[in-house]
Formats: sequence, structure tokens, C-alpha cells
Amino acid sequence: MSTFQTDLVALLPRLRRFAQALCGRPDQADDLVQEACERALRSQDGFTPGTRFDSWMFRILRNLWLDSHRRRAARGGVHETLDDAESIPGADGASVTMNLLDLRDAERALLRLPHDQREALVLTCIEDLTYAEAAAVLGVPPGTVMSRAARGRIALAKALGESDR
Amino acid sequence: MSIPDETLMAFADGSLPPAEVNRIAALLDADPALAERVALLADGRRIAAGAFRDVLDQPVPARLLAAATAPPAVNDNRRNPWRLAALAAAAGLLLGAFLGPRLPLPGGAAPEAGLLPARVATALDGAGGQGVVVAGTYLAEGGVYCRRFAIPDETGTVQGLACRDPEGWRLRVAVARSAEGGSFQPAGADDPVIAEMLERLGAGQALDANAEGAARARGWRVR
Repeated sequence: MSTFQTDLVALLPRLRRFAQALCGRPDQADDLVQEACERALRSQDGFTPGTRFDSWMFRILRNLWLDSHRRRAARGGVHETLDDAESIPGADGASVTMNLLDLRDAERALLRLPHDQREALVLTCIEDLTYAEAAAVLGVPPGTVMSRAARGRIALAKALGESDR
Repeated sequence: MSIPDETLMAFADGSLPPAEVNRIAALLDADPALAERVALLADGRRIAAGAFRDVLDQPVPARLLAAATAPPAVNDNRRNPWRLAALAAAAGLLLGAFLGPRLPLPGGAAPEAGLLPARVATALDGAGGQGVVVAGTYLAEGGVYCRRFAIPDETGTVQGLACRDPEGWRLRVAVARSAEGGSFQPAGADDPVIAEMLERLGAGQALDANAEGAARARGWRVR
């Protein structure tokens, strides 16, 4: 039993990074990590020993992230998509702006990518999952992950190349 | 000649089979636009790889450590006495090996199955225990006594929370803090991780001296 929790504690720094790369807001990212931990502990039986624990946690966290966006969009009656969520000022609009200003160029560019490219990039380039592993987390075929990652990588390189000039 | 981005990406990542590598390399030599695209794909990976790296070096907030180590759903069932016994049992199981085998408790062998070394257990029983400072007693959900303790040494302070089960004192959570500025942290200082854990265990205020003495006299059983 406790192995599960020690593994979870050891994974917390990467879960925080993953969540911040998805949503861009440190406070919201930590809320996601906390929710993911609570859900994981409730559904430990769903984890198959011998498979990648990090992938399993990434999937839980990423699904919570999607859910929270859908809930927010439904509640606010706003046609908010994942792609422009960062630019919509909410009740916490001021702090959101501050956080985004603090982010370095690469992070800002990453957060501007469409969400499907972003999550493919984060999993394969930051978390170093294989395309097959990332595909399992995202629930899409590996070929889809590859084409999204390729588009994201090119967009990122172009975005930073232009800002350098 | 058009090559899919996925293939160019695999080339940039060095994950193509050798025969393919040679074929693509020859095409790149002949086509600057294709070579540029491979360069973009490689740059994109490099740029993404460094993003948010500093998050890994930040201390993990106490609330997340507590969430990852808490028994499931304690908070959700705080008002439901029917569940308390079951939750207490679950909490007892969790005490098991969590952090115990890895805890760098000074001056003792690795605690077995989450049970604390004799020196710490003696202090928690209220019968001495050199070098261990007991910093408070709490009654947690399900009628379980938990005690906060600190073990200062020259490198810093280990603070912990242990709860009593029939076999003895089991470690619930422990935090090692290095000494700052060469001085010890006060042994009684509230650690946010421990405070979070107390909250999750449904513990109220620390017991006063009378209640603590009575609990001790009963061998740390509720009755």
C-alpha cells in the first residue's frame, strides 16, 4: 500500500511541472495536482502494477484539467476553448496576467499552442514519454500524437525564432 | 520531394532505422527547405524540453504532500460515525511503511513496518526518550491518539507525527528540515505538512495537560 504513496510523493515535482505546462497558472496547477492525488488514492485499484505509474497519473491529471475547462465553460456560458483560455480574464484576471508575464519566452510560446499540440509536446519533449506512451495517456493513436507534436515543435521554433530577430 | 513531418521528426530525434537515415540525409543535402524543416523540428524539441524545468526545483507545497499521503476520503466522512472505525483501520494500514523505511531517523535502525524506533516510541509513551521532544497530543478521528514530535540534531530537525495503534506508535508523516543559519529550528515550530496531516486526520486542538495525562494513564487508548 504505502509504496503507492511513496511513489506518489516522489512524482509530485513532475506532476506540478506537467500541470503548469498544461494550464500555465501555478495556483490552478497545484489545485489540479491535489485533486489528481485525491482521485488517485481513491482509485488505486485502477493502477496495474508493472505499468508506468507516471503515465497513469498524467492521464488522471490531464482528464481533470479537461473536465475543469468544460465545467468552467458551461457555468460561465462563455464559449471558451482550451486554446484561448489563458487570454480570457476571469475573476483572477490580474493575477493571471502577472503569471503569464513572469513566464519565460519558451513557456509563453508553449502555452499559446493549441491544447492538443501542447499536451503532445509536453508529454513527449518535457516528460520524455514515447509516442506510444503519450498516445495511451491522451487516448489517441500514436500517429496522431506524432503529427500534433511535429506541428507543435515547428510552431514553437518559429515563434521563438521570430522573437529573437 | 515531400517527406511527412513525422518522418522528419523521427530523423531529427535519431529514431529512424539506419537505412532510412541515409535516405533522408541524402534528400536533405539536396533540398535546403527540407533541411530547414528538420532544423525547426529539432529546435522545437529543445525549446519545449527546457520549459517549466524550474518547477522541479521548487519545494512541493505542504498541502500537496499531505494530499499524497493522506488516507483516502477522511475529510469527506468526518461527520459520519458509521465510517469512522473503517477509516481508522485504513489509516492504521497506511501508517504501515509510509516513509518509515526511508526516514533518516538519527541514531536508530530503520524502523520496521512503520513502527518507530524504541527511543522515539519511549518518548511518545511519555517515559523519557533522550533527544526526542514531544510537542503535542491530539485525538484524531476514530478515537486514535496522535503525537507530534521533533528530533533535533546538528544537521537540522526531523519533525514527525505518530499515531498509536495496538502494536505501538506508527509514523504517520515525517519532515526533515535542515538547520538554517547554523541554528536549530525551534523544536515546537509548527510544520505545515504536519498541520495538514492533523487536519486530514480530523484532529482538533492539542489536548491540554490534564487530558494528555489521562490518555497516558489509559495507555493511549480512548477507554
